[in-house]
Amino acid sequence: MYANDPTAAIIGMDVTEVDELLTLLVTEEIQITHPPRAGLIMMTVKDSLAVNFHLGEVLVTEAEVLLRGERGYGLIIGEEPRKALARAAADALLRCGRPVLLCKQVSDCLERSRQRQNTKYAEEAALVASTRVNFDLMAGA
Amino acid sequence: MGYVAVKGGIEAIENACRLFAWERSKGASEPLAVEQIREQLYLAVDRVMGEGSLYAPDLAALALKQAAGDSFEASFMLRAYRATQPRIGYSLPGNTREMRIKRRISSAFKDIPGGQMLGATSDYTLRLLDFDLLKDDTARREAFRETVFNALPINAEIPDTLPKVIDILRHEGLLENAVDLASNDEPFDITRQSVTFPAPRSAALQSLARGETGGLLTLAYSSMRGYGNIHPTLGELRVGYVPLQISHPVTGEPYTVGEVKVTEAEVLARFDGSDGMPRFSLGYGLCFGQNELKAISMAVLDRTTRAEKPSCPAEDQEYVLYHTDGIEAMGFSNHWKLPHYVDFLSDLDRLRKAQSIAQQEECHADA
Repeated sequence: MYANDPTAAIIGMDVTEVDELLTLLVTEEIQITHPPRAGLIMMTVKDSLAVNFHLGEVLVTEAEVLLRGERGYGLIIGEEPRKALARAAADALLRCGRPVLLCKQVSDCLERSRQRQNTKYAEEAALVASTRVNFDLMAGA
Repeated sequence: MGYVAVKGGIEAIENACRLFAWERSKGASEPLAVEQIREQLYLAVDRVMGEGSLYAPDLAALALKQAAGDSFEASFMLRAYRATQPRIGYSLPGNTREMRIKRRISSAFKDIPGGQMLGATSDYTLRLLDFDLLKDDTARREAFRETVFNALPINAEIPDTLPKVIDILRHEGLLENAVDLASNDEPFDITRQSVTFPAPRSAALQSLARGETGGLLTLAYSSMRGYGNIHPTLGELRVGYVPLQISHPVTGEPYTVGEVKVTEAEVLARFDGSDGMPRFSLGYGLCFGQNELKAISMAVLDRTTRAEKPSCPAEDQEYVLYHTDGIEAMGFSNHWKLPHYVDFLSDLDRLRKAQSIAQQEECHADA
């Protein structure tokens, strides 16, 4: 799940995991340059004739921070100010790469949540896979 | 009897609003939590998000609660809410091939690569009332959960991506190609520009995607019954989650914001041989949430409205797009409930005048 961006794990975090992550992040001085605000992203999709169109808008929350001079950006689906802030701070921290120990702790925290979410997804996928169907044609068909 | 324009009535209106809120809360049952609506009436929530054109499950559930279950009112509230929020930007074009599949079926082929998965559906039920649900308590749910998970086959997995049925047909030259209609233009945005007809494909799809399920179904059904029949076959129907991505403002890399539940329908329709080689044509439907009737109806109407010489309502793009927006249709129908005293007085005057003329003519004829 979204392996190329570790902060994407925050999307599916539960309240406890977000608390744990924020507790780690606030050990650094974070300047909130844009406090979390709700807004809309127009979702564009490509149809099966390769034409892009706007499907509709999605409610999101956006935040921006500065951490050790690094700009951190957080955008997350839903009205989730804490998650948006956590994502912005984690974004800045992991790109900055310092302090190394905190980066590792944050990465581990994100990875633990990612694994938990992957297990949940696998469970849901197994339920769907159990409905795999192979209809038999009736005689003469 | 007096016919005058009205003002005032504020106290009565406020009391009526309060009375509406009272009607839904006066019973002895526990207050309905928004979370319960979101989780247990998820198809209603999905429908409201699609027709309100805003993906926000919590707010859609809240709107349903506030509207006492009226999906039109709830969609209206959601669309009104979106008008209060700033547009942060546009997403990168989403690709439904990256869908995390919850359901996938084809009525064109028995065997499709990756297989058909029925997913969560009531399609095969007898529509008989389940009286066991009258005693739907936590203990019953726990027991049910166990039966669901205990029955799971070992190693039941789904591939991350599944090829599309239309790819197979295209590969064999049996389906119209993407390039036939593809355009590099920026998609039209009906929330920012007025639509003129013939509308570009992107505007038509955006309109249909926010259309009202019943309205789309009615017109699509008229086509299925013969008024502009396209002989549709459901090539593939998918329900699942598609990543919502933007370009990261610092790195420029694709950045995932979340995932959005959608239903996608691809309808294989009547041959088209305009370029000399007969091929199936394609109708495309995509909407927020799980709303299969809507996606199929949209796909049918996408195809019918591409008729070169419209001969019935379902083939007329302007007719279809102007009459399937539930919020607009509801607003116009509802406005008849507002005072029309002055308008009606004018109608009465005209009628009385007409009657007077008719009487005079009758007298002349008798004389």
